[in-house]
Amino acid sequence: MNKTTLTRNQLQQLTAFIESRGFKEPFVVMEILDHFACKVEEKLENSPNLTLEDAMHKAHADFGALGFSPISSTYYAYLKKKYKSIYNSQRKKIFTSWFYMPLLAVIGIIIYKAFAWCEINNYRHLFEINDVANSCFLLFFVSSAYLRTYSQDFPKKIDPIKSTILAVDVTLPIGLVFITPHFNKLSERGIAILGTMYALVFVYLCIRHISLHRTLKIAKKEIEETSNNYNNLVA
Amino acid sequence: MESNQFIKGSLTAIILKLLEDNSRMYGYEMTKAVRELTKEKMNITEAALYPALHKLVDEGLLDTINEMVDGRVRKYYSLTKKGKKEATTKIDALNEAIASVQIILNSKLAYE
Repeated sequence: MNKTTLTRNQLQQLTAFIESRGFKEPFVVMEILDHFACKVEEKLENSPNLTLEDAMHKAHADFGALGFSPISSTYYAYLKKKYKSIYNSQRKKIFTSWFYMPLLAVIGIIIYKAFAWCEINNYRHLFEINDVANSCFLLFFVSSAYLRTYSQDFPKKIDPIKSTILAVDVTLPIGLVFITPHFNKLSERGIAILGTMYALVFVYLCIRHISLHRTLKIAKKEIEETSNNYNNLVA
Repeated sequence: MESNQFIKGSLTAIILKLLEDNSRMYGYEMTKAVRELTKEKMNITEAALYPALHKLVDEGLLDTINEMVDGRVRKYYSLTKKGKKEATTKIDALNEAIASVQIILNSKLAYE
């Protein structure tokens, strides 16, 4: 029996079939396509008189009652977990980096000293909050907005930052604002405690944003590679 | 098919065994291999195979590599170092389980 190999045009029809079933993300289509194509080729080999349309329907039926859904849903879950684990490993890399950790420690000390200096000299220009605290929030607001924009065209179901960016990057600084006295001057002890907290939160958020950016870069590269393959096929 | 119930419980060991013997395989090739080896008595469904493959990759037991074959991207799965160790353990465990079940099925039990 001659081996049947689908032509580019037939593969495009298969792609359209997969998309017509509601699976439109290129990386999910590409995950399903090869297996589906192999099945269709087998159907055509076994019954040469079968039309491509019929072979596709028969092959799809072989996937079971849920069709392509189990493949797509577990693939989404797998990718989400994968990017989360990349994020964790990037964070670990920074924590153990001889370059980043001393640098961030120095930045932390500078934040602490600057916070204390502003508090003693009453530098509170916005909302009656310490200027260093205000600058930190502004910086993270800009950084969070940049990360959001950077991941804008990223598939939502596997976006590694979508679910956590509000939870951590906004609530943590806002929480600190609430516990910072707005009008009264801080005592020496208050300066020490709050200065340390601001320095630690700043360093933590720095590590987090660098890790998120690296993760997104890796994920985007992978997604783009798949999208290019997809575009080459359907073009 | 009754055998499908059995295959579900031993799918991980079957995948690891196939990859141990073939160094690398793609999804469809695995389903075909199981069908041919069992003379169509067993069939791995895609709904069971791919979640299992994704899980094994996630656990670091399998590696994947994409290659362009016949105009489409084909994903090949192979065992990692950790996967090779785990393959031996899982296959041994499955063999032991099958042997135990056979002992029960082949003996006349007079259990009180």
